[in-house]
Amino acid sequence: MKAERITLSGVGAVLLLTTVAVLTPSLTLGLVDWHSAFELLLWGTTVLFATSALVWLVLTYVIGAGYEPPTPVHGGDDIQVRILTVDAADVVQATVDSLPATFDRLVLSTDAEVLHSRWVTSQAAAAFNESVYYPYSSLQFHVLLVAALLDNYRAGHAFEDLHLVATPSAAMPDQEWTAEAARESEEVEPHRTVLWSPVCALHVTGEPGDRPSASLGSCPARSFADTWSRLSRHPFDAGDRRWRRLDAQLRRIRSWSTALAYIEDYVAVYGDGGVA
Amino acid sequence: MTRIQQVLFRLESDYGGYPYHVTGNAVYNAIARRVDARTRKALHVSHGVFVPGEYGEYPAAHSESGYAGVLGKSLPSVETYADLFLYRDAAQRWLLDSRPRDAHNTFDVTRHGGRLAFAPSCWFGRPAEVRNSKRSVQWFMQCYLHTGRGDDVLPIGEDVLEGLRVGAARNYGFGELSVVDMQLVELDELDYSRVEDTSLQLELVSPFVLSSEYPGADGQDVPWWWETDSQVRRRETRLVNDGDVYTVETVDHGQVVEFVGTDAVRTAKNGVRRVGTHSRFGFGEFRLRPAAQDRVPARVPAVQRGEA
Repeated sequence: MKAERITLSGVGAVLLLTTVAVLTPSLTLGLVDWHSAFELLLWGTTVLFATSALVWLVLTYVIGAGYEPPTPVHGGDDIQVRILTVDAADVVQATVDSLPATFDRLVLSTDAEVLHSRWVTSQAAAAFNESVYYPYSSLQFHVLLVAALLDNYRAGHAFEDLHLVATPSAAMPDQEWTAEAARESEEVEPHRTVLWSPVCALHVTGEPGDRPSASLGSCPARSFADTWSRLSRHPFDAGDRRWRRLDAQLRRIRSWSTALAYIEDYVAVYGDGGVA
Repeated sequence: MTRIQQVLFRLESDYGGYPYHVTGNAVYNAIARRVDARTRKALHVSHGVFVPGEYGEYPAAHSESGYAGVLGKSLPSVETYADLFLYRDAAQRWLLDSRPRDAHNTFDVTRHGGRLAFAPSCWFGRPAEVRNSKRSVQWFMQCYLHTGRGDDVLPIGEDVLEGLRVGAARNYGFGELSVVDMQLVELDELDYSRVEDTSLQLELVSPFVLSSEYPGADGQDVPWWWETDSQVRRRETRLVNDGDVYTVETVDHGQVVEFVGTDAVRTAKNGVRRVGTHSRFGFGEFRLRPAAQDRVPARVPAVQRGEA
């Protein structure tokens, strides 16, 4: 047992004894004089706090005298601050004001469509999980799904109106998968496209039209497998072994961001052909 | 009296066949060459659904509740109608949320000179501070056998089922199965109280055949007792028999429609024994469930939350 724990237990026991002795002296059978017990408690507490203050003083000003903090590995030059809120000017200003003066790079995007196209095609964001506790999830698709929901809510759709829409890809072999290309492509719907890949594009929208779609249900849930298997038409050729295998795997995955990340990974590894 | 024999196999080698499930036709043909003519004629075989052996908890509709330990490696006893379908849904909703369930429930893909196959187990790394550096999750396959009325050839012995091979590249050792558990279930003795007197949804567990090139098979429409707002999704698949390939037009599995027929309990039993042509080979299996009880457990209808 450590010294501090022994001390604390001792003081706790004295406190308990004193309380009993002061409130109901008869319980201690006259063995303890409550005056002296109370005095002992006060002295004990005072000595404990005085000692710890003394120890702290010695550590800080005697032992730690002349300590220089190490230079940080990453300084202000290496850090970018990105402020994504664009609608509320006062919030943006308050955030900018609160930043330390060492930051000299501040990226402030005022065009939400540009932001969306960058997230859709981002390779860096795809490398991160939502949390270490969900190692197979994807930060990129989580953000895109949240953006799609927000855009739909702003357009006046309730959750039960929303659909997953899957459109087959019309990408040519020379298609570039950059943010600029995403903004030019007709397959990418601003804010609502959650996946843009060489095999299909997926959108979360309240206006499915006559495209292949399936309702998301009454409230948010980990329901990718169910929504995917209820799509009214298949976005890719399920006669091809490669895509049939992907389809079968997607019917097993319940988490949305995991499933979207799986499509992207599968297409990256097996999409080129050469396998059956 | 209708008995079914549930069988749980362990995947012993890579599987190169149909990725959604092992078709009843594949399992039937594997068994047929090992049994006598009478059994061969009487036997009906369901599609085999892949199940990972992992920790789980019983779903809400199940007769038991709470933490279930390791599921997928054995067949839990069946008391109610819903218990029949514990392993029959590819999403395997009993997997624990506290573990990486989507990774556990996704096959590891292996590559064999340009051909892809599913691995029979998947290895997971473990944190550096624990004793073992990795752990594996094994894959199992559950299917059930039954017979037409009047025939009694069940149970099929373990010696017959042991070592069956299914899927592609069987001659190269792919798709080998070993029996880990079997049990007989009497359909008439199950509890069907959850599907009586309530509005129901019908979920297709295996594809329903609309038309088939197989000689003598009649075409069928989508049954009148299925109601849906939009078109049901169709899919063309193939049935292979003695080297001949027949194209089969089906309603894709996983589709959910409203049940508007009568006599739900009898329909529920028929759904287990399957409907439509090719039902002997696993097609046309469905499950009824109360419309108020979503198959996604987290999705409680707005009415129940008091919002509507």
